[in-house]
Amino acid sequence: MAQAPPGRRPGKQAILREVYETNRTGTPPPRRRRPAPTPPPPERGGAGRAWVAVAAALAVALAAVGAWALARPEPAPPSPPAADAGALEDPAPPRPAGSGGVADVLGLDVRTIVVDPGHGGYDPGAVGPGRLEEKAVTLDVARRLRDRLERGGDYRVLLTRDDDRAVSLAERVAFADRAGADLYVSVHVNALPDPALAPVETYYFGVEADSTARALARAGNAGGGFSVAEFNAAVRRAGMAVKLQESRALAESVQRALVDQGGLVSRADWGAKPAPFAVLLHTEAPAILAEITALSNPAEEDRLRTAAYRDAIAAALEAGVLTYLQGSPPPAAADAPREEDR
Amino acid sequence: MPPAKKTDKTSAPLHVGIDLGTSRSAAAASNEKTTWVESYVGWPKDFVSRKMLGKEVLYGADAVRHRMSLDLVRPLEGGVIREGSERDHEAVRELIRHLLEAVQTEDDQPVRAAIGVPAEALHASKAAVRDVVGDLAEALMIVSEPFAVAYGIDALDGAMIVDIGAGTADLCVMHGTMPTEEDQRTLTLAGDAIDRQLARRLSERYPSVRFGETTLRQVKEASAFVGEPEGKVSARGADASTLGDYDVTDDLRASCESIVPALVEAAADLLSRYEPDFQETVRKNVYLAGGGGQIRGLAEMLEAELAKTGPARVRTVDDPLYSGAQGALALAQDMPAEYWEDL
Repeated sequence: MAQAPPGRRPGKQAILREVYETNRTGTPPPRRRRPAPTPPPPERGGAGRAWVAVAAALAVALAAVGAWALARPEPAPPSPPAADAGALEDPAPPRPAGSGGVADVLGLDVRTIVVDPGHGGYDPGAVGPGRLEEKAVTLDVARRLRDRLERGGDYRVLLTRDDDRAVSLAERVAFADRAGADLYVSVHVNALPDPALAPVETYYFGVEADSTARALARAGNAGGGFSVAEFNAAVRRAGMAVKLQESRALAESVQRALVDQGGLVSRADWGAKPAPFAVLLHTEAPAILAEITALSNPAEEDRLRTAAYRDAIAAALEAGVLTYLQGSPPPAAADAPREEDR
Repeated sequence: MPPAKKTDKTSAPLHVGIDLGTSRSAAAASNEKTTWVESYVGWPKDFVSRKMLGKEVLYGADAVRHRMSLDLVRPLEGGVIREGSERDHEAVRELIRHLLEAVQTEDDQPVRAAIGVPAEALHASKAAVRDVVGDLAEALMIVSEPFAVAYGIDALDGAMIVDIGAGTADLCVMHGTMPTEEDQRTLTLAGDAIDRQLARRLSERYPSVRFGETTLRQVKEASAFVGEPEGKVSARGADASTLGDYDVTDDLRASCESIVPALVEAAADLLSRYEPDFQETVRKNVYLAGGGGQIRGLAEMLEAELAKTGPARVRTVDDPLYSGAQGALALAQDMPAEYWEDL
């Protein structure tokens, strides 16, 4: 234990120096850090452990954001001790200019990505012929996707559930909105009557674009004198139109990546398409729902049991999201699976 | 030392010390302005309330007064910023923005802020505070609340700070360096615990009467005491049909005294870790700070309890409400410019 000789006057300068040091380096330099604990195996998630993992992931995310804010002072720091150099080398904002998305036009940063593992708890989702449950697959893929997206330290990634429990659609949506989600990615696995089929498809929320445009035009032409409620509704519709465009772009990017990079053998490209899923409609952020493959296909079910395959799918989802955000595929997107098969 | 870097800012920086508390947050600035606010932030619930209130955000007592029309958030409940709650983070940001706006006289004057946060989970809160405050200030330092208090009263060596807030009571021994975890103890027995205890006792004494949470807190803040009462304390409550004033003197006293044994035990345990000579010095330099420092008779009672096991002198800091903010301000002002510029 630190033990000062009693009665001696402390050096105030030394204390000030300490305060400064702890504020410079007290927060770990987490930009390149992996989120602390690897999530537990998906097939059985102890609730307690999962909560610890949630807390740890959040702590890492917060620290990362904090350090990111720290790491971009306007003037170059005068004589920083070399320890933090790694944190300073790449202070670029997460989203480079020129990708042409609406967030880019408006100068907005995408910072928070909510990943939504489908089903959970009493609701297993699809169940394969070998009894593999959709809820376990979606949770594991979602966690891998989170870990991958968090690696760069540019995004805060939150899961709507990080253990095996039931979460209602309304709760998922409310969580995303409360968290200030900039993107919402829901992960599902298909089940089809024909076991031979194993399609990949990605949905975005779609209303008929024409009706939205018509309504917008009507509000614009009405001149003065429309009520606050009408105005609000029009603004909401305009927001919806923007969201629709962004959601479609995201869906197309993710679909392409899933088809190109997902380690496809038997899967078919069914495309990105609009659908009125509740989670897609009600989230404020651009939202997609990816059906990563079909559990009704026995070969796919077997492959989904391997960590390597689930990781490849997570890598493809990551690539799709990053391509949408950055306009180019990430360098590390296609790297090797990081875990051995279980 | 290289010559001071030229900045493109024309005005000299404004130094600000902020005490981010569960119950109250205070700021003191180098332009001698001070302000405080109850740590509540409220957002109008809907269109109607927004129109009625005419504001997008309400703070402090204003927010509490209009709580029926607001989503009211007390972001530092329990002494830490709850992780993962955007609302809490946003509320912390609004609180700090509000405090800074109140002390800032010139627009565009760069702000260098030292912020004291509850000692418990300093690390988590640190990241959260940085996260939300980032662009409100040019540079930011975050320290533990009791340390800020100690710095402000120049009790950096051979002293103990007992900072009793709403969510936590922090005990911290200063020995001439930055306190580490080993030098600190945190109890969750503090102002809020007194409130809960008081509400429970009153519900037993007056089973058919309801007392408002805010009412009880106000009564406590005005009249909290331990030991002999100076007079009758009453609180407004409502039974099925009528409002009336009820005597709460004994229950207020018992509630306030309920935190004393734990404080004494924690202080003794913390002291026992140090050399006997040093213990003696510390025992004579115990300072009470925070809202709990305003409990009448508490310093005397703690001193009497500690005196049973050795010498003891317990004093209340001069200005419990501002001691944290003033300490943080002193720290901000003493901090050499080149350290600030490096942050």
